[in-house]
Amino acid sequence: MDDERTLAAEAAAGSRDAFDELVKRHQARIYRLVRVLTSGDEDAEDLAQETFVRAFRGIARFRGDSAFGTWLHRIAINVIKSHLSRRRRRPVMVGPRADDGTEGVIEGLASVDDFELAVHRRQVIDHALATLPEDQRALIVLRDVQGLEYHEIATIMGLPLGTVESRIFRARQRLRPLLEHLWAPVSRD
Amino acid sequence: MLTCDEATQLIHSSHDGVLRAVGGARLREHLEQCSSCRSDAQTQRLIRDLLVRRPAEALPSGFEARLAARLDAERGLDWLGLINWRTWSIRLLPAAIILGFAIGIGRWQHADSQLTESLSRMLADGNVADALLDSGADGEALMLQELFFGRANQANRRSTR
Repeated sequence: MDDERTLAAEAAAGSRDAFDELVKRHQARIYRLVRVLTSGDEDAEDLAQETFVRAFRGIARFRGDSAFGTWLHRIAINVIKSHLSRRRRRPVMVGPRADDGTEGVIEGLASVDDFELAVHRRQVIDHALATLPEDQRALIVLRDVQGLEYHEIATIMGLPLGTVESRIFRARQRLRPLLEHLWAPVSRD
Repeated sequence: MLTCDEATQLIHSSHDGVLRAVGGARLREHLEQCSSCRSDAQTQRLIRDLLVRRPAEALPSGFEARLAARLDAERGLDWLGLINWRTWSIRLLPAAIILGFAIGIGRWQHADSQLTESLSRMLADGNVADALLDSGADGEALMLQELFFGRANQANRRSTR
């Protein structure tokens, strides 16, 4: 992603157009990350935007040692962690929120049946992910939902590669009984 | 043949249960024999496939516009920073330290020359030296005279120049 490094350098030099282009490329992924890791929290949009605002403020500090997307994910993870720790201190019960399909409409689905099926699948997956311990959940989401490489995840989370590998392995083992019933539709895809 | 622990280790590092060349043949051999490890490797691949296909939600409408407005506001804050006392006080701190230091040195030099003048005047009058001589501190009286008359002479030389 050398062109993203160039865009980041231009943004650091003050080009708003360059930063807007980076936003366009990453906004959907960052929003998805926030939605999944906060279990569809109503503040998801605000947190995704906060990630970009912090990136905007700190773009001059991006040295290009990692991909821009990796750097952005690290900011997002920090924003989400702070939010979750604030949420834990609040005296309200927040669990995986029911997804009635009215928010976060799914892209690229033609029929109502497809839409309902997709909403159901997403609900089941998100509920299953929400049962994982936090240290496993972030890692498996970064790998399987966000599609990052293991070494990138190790960098973002500040963990040794071996720890990342074993936690993702354990997370998948834990998810199996919760998601087994979805396997058949996957194999039809 | 690999043990189950060794096989599990290889599955970890195989990233997603996809067998690689390194250790792949030995792991494959183990998996053919061991149903438990075979099930573990299968779980890795299947759960990954499921999560990769998690239906993505679209961005809320207006997300981009709202974000652009926040970024515009951030840029505005940069200018507001110029009238922010915190920004100014931090930026001016080094200059303030240097200025304070310079004023301190000037005042010290001024006080030093005043002290020298008044002491030399006192010593010339013989008040302090007499007091010390009266108290029996002859050595101290001589040292004081030598020290301050010497400094007074230096100060006088500076002022004539």
